[in-house]
Amino acid sequence: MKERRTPHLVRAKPMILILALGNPLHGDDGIGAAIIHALNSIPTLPSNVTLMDGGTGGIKIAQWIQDYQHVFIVDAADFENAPGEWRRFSIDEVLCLSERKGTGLTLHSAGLRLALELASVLNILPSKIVIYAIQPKDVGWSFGISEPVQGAIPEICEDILKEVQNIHQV
Amino acid sequence: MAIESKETKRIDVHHITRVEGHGNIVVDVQEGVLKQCDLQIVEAPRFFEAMLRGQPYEQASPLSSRICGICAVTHATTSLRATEKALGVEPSEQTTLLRKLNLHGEMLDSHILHIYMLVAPDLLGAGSVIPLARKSPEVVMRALRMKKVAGDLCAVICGRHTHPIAMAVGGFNHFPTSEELSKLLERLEAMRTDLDATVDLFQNLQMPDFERETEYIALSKEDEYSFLDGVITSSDGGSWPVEQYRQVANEHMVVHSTAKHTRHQRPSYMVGALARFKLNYEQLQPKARIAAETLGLDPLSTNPYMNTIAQLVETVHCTEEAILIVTQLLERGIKQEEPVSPVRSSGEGVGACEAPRGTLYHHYVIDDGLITDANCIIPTAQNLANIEADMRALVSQRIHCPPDEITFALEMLVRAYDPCISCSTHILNVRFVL
Repeated sequence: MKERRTPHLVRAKPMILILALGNPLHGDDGIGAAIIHALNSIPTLPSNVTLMDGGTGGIKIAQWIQDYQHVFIVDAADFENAPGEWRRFSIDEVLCLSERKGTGLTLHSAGLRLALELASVLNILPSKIVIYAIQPKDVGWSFGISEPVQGAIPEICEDILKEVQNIHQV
Repeated sequence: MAIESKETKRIDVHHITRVEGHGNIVVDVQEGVLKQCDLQIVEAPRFFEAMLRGQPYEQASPLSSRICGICAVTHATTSLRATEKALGVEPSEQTTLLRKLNLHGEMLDSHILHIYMLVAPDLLGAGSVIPLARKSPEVVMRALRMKKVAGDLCAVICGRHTHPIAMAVGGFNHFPTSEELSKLLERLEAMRTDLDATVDLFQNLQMPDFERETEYIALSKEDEYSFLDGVITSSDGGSWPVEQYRQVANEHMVVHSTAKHTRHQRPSYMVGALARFKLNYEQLQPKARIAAETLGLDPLSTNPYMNTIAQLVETVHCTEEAILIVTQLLERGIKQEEPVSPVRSSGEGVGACEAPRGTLYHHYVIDDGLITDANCIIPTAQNLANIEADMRALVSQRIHCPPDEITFALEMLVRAYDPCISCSTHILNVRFVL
């Protein structure tokens, strides 16, 4: 897939970043990349929206998000729900929750919480961050996304697009 | 509290943080004698090679780039070289230049991460990067500025900040514009100020005093400090074509680790920045050699803690090299070349590159366009036996020091190697049995 890419070096004023995290070699952990792929095929996506498949970039997330005012992060996360269920988390919720399983939220992209905490301490956080967490079915070594998780893609894309449109209307 | 020679104590210390992956350090000292000193790798094997089997050869590089978010460019490039050798593809001079530039970008990003965010907290008494960012935000911001230049370099060359998409067998399917390269050149030149400040910072920091000679192995070339291709070279003498990597690595299983160990002319060897610095010192950029001298690093050093300093020297080198390559690309002008096509659909090939942590090998057998066999040897696996040998020597030397002191020295030692345990099979549990 060739991404819609607006590199920092040529972009005038980047505002909105949709950042996917996760590893497509880990089954449903590839949900972020799949959502970027789906959004990339929408011709009406505004030009100041950057789509980024950040993979397992870890701490690099801190350097990626600092140029944007609005950031939407998409990642598989175990919040003890049914596969394919999704919900939005605020940055405060992510920073307060432990990454250890059993306490409510396990982000599959190790490093997101640390990167956000670092950006917060350095005062380089975008003004708005929303984290879309999707409950995976299987994150073992495998290709492809399970059916229930696949089913969440249109809803999440629609919700992100609404958020983007709301930003434009402000 | 000093260890008393006739006393048996059991101390459990959990979580060596700031390494990639999960493992345990187990140290057992009984009646003053070191009985056990293991770096136990407990992560599940990743069976990555098995996932490659049956895939079309074009998929090997993008899939390989997903092995690691830090070394994605090196995995992708090494994979391409293995495929190209198997299928008789000779990439163009421009492709080689772009790949080298890309590798320099990843080396910069990874080294700056390790130097500032994983090691500096130990030396500055900050515990981790978060307290360091609270205490000295300007230091961490400097690291982020430099990392951003490195990351943007990779995005310009390979289409994405991590997990490249513009690289293909035989060439590239996307090219940087002259404007992108010119702006990159300006930013790389401006980065020298932050690099000078980094050298100044580390010049005043003291690494632990510990020496242990071992065998050092790296890729070498006569005319450049090699990151892409070359011959396998040993500090104990000898060089081998990359196709003979198995004879050099001699992978073997050990009971306490899910990652294989390696050995060559001694029971263990070291790969990575210090090994490269020692073997390829003459090919370093002059500014990097000046930085080495300023930082007290010479090619005879056998202190594994100095691997971090060697990474800093390489950071200076890679910046200078990147400036030269971008200048050269701008002078030549970027050609929109089609990737070189394979001359055959079956074959066998070995690719080798220097990843930030050391020599990386990919070896593929391709039959009628499909990968039928694959083998990858990653740098951290090659370093595991050597880390353990260092740990044993370190504990033996400091056996009468307080356990907390030994534990801290061991944690720093493991971190000095910048291990990527996730790749070789983040958190290290230290169990101290005394």
